[in-house]
Amino acid sequence: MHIIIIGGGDVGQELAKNLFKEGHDAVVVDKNPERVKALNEELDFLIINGNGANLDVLEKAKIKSARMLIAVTESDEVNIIACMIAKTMGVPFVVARVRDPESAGSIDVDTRGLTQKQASLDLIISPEKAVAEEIAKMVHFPGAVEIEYFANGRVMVVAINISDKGESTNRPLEDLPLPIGCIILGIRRSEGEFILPGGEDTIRPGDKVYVAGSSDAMAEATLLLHGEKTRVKRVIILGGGMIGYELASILESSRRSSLITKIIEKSEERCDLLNRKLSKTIVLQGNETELSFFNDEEFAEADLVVAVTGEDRTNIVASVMCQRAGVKKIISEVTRIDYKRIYSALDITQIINPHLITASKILQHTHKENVVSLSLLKDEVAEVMEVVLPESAQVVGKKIADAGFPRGMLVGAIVRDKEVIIPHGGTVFEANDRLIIFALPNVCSRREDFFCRSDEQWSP
Amino acid sequence: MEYSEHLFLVGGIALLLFFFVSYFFQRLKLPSLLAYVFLGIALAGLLTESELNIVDEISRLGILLLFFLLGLHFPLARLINISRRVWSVGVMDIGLNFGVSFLLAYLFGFDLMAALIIGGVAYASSSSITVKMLEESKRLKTPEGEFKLALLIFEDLAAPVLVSFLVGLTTHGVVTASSILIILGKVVLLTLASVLMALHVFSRLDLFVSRYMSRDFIPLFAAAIALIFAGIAEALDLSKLLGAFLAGVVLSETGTSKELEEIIAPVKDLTLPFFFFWFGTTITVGTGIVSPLALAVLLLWAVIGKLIVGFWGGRIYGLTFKSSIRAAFGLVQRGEFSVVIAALAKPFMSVFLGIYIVVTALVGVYLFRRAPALADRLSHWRGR
Repeated sequence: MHIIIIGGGDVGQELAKNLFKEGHDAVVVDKNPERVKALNEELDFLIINGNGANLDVLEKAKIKSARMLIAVTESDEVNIIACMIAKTMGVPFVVARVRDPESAGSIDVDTRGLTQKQASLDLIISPEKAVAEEIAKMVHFPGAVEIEYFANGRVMVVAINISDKGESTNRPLEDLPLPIGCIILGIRRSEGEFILPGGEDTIRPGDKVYVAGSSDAMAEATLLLHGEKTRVKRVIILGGGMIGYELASILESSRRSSLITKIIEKSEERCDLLNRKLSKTIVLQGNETELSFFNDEEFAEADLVVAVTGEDRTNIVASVMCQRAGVKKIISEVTRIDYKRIYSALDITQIINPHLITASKILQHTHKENVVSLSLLKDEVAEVMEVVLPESAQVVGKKIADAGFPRGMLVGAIVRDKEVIIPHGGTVFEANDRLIIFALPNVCSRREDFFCRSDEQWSP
Repeated sequence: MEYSEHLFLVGGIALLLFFFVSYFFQRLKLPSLLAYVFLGIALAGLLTESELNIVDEISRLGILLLFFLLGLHFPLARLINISRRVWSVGVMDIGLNFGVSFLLAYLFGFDLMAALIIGGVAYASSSSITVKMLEESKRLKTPEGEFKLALLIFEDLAAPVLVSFLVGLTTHGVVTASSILIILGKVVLLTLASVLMALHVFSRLDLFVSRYMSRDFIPLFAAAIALIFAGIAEALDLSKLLGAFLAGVVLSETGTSKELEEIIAPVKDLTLPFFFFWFGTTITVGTGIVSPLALAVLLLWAVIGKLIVGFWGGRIYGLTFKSSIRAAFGLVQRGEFSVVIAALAKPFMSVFLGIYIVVTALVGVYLFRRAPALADRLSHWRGR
């Protein structure tokens, strides 16, 4: 499928790389000549230098044959205009990244202006909101470092860091008393190797373990693997920007009202605004310096600190301070993915990258119709996908053992008539099953062979 | 009218004295409000009744503007936010400081009426001293600063109910359920009316106010709102401070709090010293205390009661250990509200109550200043 990406920044690049892996044909448009030069060396796609909201440039990018346009420049206006042009030119599916929710409407973004339809956008992604949602999941499930929900929340895939405190280490997996309804999908060793484990493999301290299963059983499984129960009562959000605000509003609206949430923000105007908009969160104004984020006194009693100041370096320093103050869990935003290494060196594992999340949200829509959702795992070691099995799919009626899946592809859970099934070799696929599939990158492109109708066109 | 001839001279001398004492106190790193209070105590005998009346009028304006400015920092959402967390602390405050003080006084042999008045005097921390101290020590924006303000606002809501209760008792000897309900109803009515005005009228005035912010009529507009709200509150027998505070809340919905504050603050700085001066003149100092032992015990409880409310309440409110300690040591001072209640007492008690108020005010100011150091020490000790 021919896809045009406007904006070759971090999100655009991430999208391009993934689309390339999946065998799509993409064109990237960026107005910065230097970046175009750099991208030309890195990517095997056509990179056009120009304004993405310009008709000539879009024609050069072969907009008439495009099936999808993704506008992810820094500017909301360019993104929206590019999408409007594309829609008029007959592109079936257009996606815009919109930071400022007042610019255009959407279903999940608060808006008072145009509706999504009036602005002729098929999908609006607000990175800040997406990040806040992602962090909120972690706040509610503090034992895990990554959480994805599937099948309307019935199935979860979580990643858990193994400490030396748990009883789960150095025992063969087949002896592990995992609760019913859970399965270990994969293990990422501390040295970086990723394995799809068998019954005789063991978990070692320092590993990151991916578990799939029903949401009810997951708390128990997390406790078993993580080894200690993390209770979160006091949450501190460093930085009252868009992400901090969105996160606080999500936490305010959640049913777990026993949380004490505090935002530390240095700008007085922003504090005023937050005080005006939030009704349960405690807003603390730090002084005007960067140092105001490093509030030892608050850290000393916090169970969880979220560093979303928008400044990578401030986030890093704040995370280190929190670590020293003994905060049990730290979630830090990293906009420059290169900084990830620093975090691993400092042993701060919970990092969140807005670009990756945005890209992952958009990628969900580049798949065939029956793909309900798709998530990239953080280390990009694998993808987790939810599909609804069509009647004509070639695996329907077959046992898992006979389906001939390549090594690196695993069905983690099946939701059939609201029941969560952890499949084994003898489980037979039925039409309309919801499958949670775990796939390593080398086999990602092959999963359509198994789970989609053979005659199907690319969505949309 | 003897003062009218020398009004400017007397006024000028008063301001000059304020200037000097404030300057010296600040050089000595002492809070300037104490300077005004001491000046008031010292000069109380020299002023005529009518001059005192003028001081009283100006002082009301000062304290009113202080609360108006405070209200500007509490937009509705924030007010709802803090009230959700502070009400249980407020109830605890009533129980510990009004309730226990009343019981103690009653056990010491005061009659029911006198014991109730002592409870009332012991109840509320001084809003004016606390806010002024927070301002002077630049601790207004700390987490415990917000908590203290929240508690003071609660006290300002509860105090008028308490006053009307006690007034009813002293004048008629009985309190009817309906009179209490009426005053409660008025509190609710005033607050609701302000909320509605804030939401439907003032939130739409943002463009108007910010457009004309630098014109000379905006200060008139802001001051008018403050006085009208305070006046309405007073006419309803409620705390005028509450009214002024609500005026600030309502105007803060225009989103121009900072600019409005800059306009009004100088007037407050001119008039507020008169309030503390007036406070000083109302304190009766003399000999012949009714019961020194009772006074000592009550004073001790005045400190302990507020410490408990400050610390425990602070923890309930969501403050950290250290913040709660700082809050605890910043609430002991009693002030203007206690003076109002003390005025209801029979003359033989006025010295007793006067000493109670002035001692708690002084001890309160001292503890307030020491609070950060005490908190550091206590948390260090706890850490070990």
